Amino acid sequence: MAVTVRIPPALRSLTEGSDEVSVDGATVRDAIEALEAAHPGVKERVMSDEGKVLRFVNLFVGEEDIRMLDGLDTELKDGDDLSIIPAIAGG
Amino acid sequence: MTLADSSVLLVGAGGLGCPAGRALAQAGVGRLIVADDDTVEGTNLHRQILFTEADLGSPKADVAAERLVALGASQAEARRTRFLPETAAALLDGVDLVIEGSDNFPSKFVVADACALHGVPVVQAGAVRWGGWALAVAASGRGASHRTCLRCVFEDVPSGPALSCELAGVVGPVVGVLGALQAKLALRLLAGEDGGTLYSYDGRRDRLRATRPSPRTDCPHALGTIDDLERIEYVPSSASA
Repeated sequence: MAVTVRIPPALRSLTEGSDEVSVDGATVRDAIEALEAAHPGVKERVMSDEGKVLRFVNLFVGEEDIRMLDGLDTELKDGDDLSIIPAIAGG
Repeated sequence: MTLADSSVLLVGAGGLGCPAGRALAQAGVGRLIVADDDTVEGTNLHRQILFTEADLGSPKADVAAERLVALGASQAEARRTRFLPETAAALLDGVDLVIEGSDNFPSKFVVADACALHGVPVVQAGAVRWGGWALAVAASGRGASHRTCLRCVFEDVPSGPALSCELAGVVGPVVGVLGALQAKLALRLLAGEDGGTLYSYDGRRDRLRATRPSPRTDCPHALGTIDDLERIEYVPSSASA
């Protein structure tokens, strides 16, 4: 499945400044792995060593929080948007 | 309750609190309370729009309160203090809504927890460099009546690589947009509307996305497991769920 991953400003140093990256993946986990293969370093900003989503990162497929779907096993369709929203604290 | 009868607490008179406070003062919120224990520094001026060079070294809370009255608030009070577990109850006394614009995660979670415990709506936000987020949280209860809160979305004080303004800097107009958004969300909550929408702003691409995270069933406020702020450790925790 070809999906678009929306990269937040805080992670764009790892994607050569790109705010969107197209990857193939049948699930959210696959998409993150594909993103890591193309742009090493992204995965550790999103997932723990144990393979779980970091507590202070939110992943949305379209408008849906993956925690309310099947987490990293959430299936993706062609054309889906996967958004990464990390917690940031400045003010 | 009319806006003129409303009391709003600004936690932090920084890049978010200044524009949010200004917008609320000019919208007609009757009483604004500014809690901040810092003084105005030169590096603040590009984004903290209530201050000028003449204010350098002065307490932010005092100067902000004075400016908010000049802008139209009928009452503005300064509290030269941080929002801490031990100061939370006094600061929330008589307050109808909180604007949280602190610059660190522990403060954001203290405010989130205190507002949940005291049943006070809160609008929280954070920004670094060109991006940020904002979340309006309606007053809610425990169990099935719990509404989406900061702990539903970001769970706990981050450890590791989460970004802060202090480490990465922030673009002045980006916090201006998010502070104004906080004020707008506050007006809607004060009008009795629901919260729960998480806004994500990208100032480089001019994109504002809205998502609606559901309340987490294992959120400590849904479960009712947080009942004493002074027993919570607001320090970076284990990074994974």
